Amino acid sequence: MLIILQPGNFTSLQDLGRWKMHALGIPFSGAMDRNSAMLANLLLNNPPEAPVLEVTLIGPKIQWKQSGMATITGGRFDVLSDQTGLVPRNTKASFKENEIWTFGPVKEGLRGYLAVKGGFVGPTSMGSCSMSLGVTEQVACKKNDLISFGFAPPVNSSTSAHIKETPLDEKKIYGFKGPEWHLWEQSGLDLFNQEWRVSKDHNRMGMRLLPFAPSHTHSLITAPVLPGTVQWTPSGQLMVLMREGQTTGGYPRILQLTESAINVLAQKNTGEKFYFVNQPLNYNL
Amino acid sequence: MKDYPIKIIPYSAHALLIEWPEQIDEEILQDILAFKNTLQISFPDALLTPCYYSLLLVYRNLIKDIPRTIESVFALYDSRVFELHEPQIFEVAVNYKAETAIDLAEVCEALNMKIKTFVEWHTNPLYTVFGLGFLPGFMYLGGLPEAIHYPRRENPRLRVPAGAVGIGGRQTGIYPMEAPGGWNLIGHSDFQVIDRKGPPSFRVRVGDKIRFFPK
Repeated sequence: MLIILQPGNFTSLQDLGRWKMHALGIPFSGAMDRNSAMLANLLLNNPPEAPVLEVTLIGPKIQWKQSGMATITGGRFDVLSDQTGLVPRNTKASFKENEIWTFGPVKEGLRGYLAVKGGFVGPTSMGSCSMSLGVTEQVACKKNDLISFGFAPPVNSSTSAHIKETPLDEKKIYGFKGPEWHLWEQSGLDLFNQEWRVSKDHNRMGMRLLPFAPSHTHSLITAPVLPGTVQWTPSGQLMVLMREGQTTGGYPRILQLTESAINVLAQKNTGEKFYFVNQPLNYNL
Repeated sequence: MKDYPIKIIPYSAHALLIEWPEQIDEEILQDILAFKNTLQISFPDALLTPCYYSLLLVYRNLIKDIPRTIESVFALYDSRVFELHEPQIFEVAVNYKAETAIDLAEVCEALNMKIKTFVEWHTNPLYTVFGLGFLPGFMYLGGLPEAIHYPRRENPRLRVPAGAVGIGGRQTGIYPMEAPGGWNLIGHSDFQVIDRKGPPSFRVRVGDKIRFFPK
């Protein structure tokens, strides 16, 4: 078990989200950078979907209430142990009962993942323990929360060899043209020849981009969307739906990001710049 | 049963989007739901999200051969089975005099209509649930009479209270939880799509019917 001494900017318990509830209007949720969450688990021989703590921007201060083994992956945070000093990233680190770990502010990327041997456990709602607005009682960890360890059965470590770190400095965001791409073509702007940056409005649900593209008056009947769908709002702003994005939308869907592009984008903070790169679907894999 | 000229396009490396003619139409929705059932039997592990004129088919894994998968989905459309599912009908109480109904007077004035007449229009139709989304427990309802279509507010409110009943263009609906929103608020309802006594469960499915009555 661990206790949250200070929750940091936004710390939440996440697994790989809710499957099939999307049809009932419930966001998938789950770790924003799934790749880093899975890497953290596999380094410990946990199943990839074991619950992890997702820490954002300024990490938490935690105290371990029992000894065990943990890993930290994802965005680059300095984590200081009051017993052993700097905790190494992307590898196993052991801790003792009552040891305190303090996450600093993020140095590169945006979101870090803390996994523990056996996985964390939390209250499950609609098939997942991912904290999510309107689904679980809590949307984020708060001071004095106690989080227990689970008993996830160990998996074969050979699978972890296939997972690489999420590249934090990647500037290329890959996607394929969405169902309303033909509407975007009328905008006169070359989506793939334009530098985009993350506005201050970004969270687990979505990310608004700058600069503004041309405005439009296309009005669509509401239709399904997925994480990674890039919507073009009437004011001209592009909005990327992230892991906790709503399941339906009424704006032109101009691009659908690849799974790894969503992970890369989940590590981008306000002001960070990138390019969209057209990646046509491979019709025969 | 009528065959529609459906389109099937790749949406992501995992997903196909199936589109019917772009209309809000009860018969189209019934066709979508029939096809959804057929697909679910063939792809038990796939996710199928219906909404108005679309059905999104999401596979757990990458689609290995997109043209062949599209072909097989087309073939299944021809073999879809209509099982008559009687929709559930929910009678939903709305308090048009509630504090939440802050825009009702303004809307009625702009529509040049008495509040009583507005309430009659709003409570008259049997609305169809064309989709679930936007917020957990929000229903997209089709069937708002044209006489009370009314545009969204120019400046959305940062906080619309849970239970607010609103009108936005040709849509009406209930905010299931506090959220930002641009609809004009005309009443309040305690109706909940998600039953939260015990493990959350959904009382309403796409295709069900809603009728409002004044409380």
